[in-house]
Amino acid sequence: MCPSGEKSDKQRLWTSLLEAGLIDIPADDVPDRIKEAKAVVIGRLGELLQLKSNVQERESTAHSLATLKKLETTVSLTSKQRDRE
Amino acid sequence: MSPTAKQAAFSTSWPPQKDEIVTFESADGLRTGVVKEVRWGLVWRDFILEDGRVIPEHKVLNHPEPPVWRNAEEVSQAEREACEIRLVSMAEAGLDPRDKEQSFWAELNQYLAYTYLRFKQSQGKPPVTE
Repeated sequence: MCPSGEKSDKQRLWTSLLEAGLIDIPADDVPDRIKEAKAVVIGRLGELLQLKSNVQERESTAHSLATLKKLETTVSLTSKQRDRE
Repeated sequence: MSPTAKQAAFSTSWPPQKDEIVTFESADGLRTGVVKEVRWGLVWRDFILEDGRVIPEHKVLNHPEPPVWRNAEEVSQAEREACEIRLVSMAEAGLDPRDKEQSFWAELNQYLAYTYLRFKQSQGKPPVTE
């Protein structure tokens, strides 16, 4: 059983995910959600670059950004192909 | 498979085990399926059904409230990178993420939720060591 503070913390995070539309992404919103995630990652990477410390976190953040860029490109192509069919 | 009211109201110990029938919310109403496997994703548990559909725990009837889920810090770098490789591979294979209840959509949905939690929570904080 988790402490009530932890439970309400989880509830708060769950609500923030719901508000961000990330609990059950509607099919047509996937490209937009990828773009939004990319923007969040770019924001954090900018902070890390300014701090000039912790190379490991910077590298893993850059890796996640690269993944999102690849996903954005390929998902966009797949969607266009499907729409043409 | 279309559930009856009796099936929808049926509850068992949580989480349901392999071969148990679960009822879940789908775009076209309540549906049922047979559990093949229950698997943790980056944020929540997914129920993989015998017919290949992947249903997030919070869509299954009688799930705990709030749903059980992981903190972003619990996900290791190796697990995250393995997920990123799988996602890129599925995307490059031409799978369409708009196919809901399929593995690509399910894993991508969790990855985006995890990314939001991971970076929104860390914004403005000093760097962390993994």
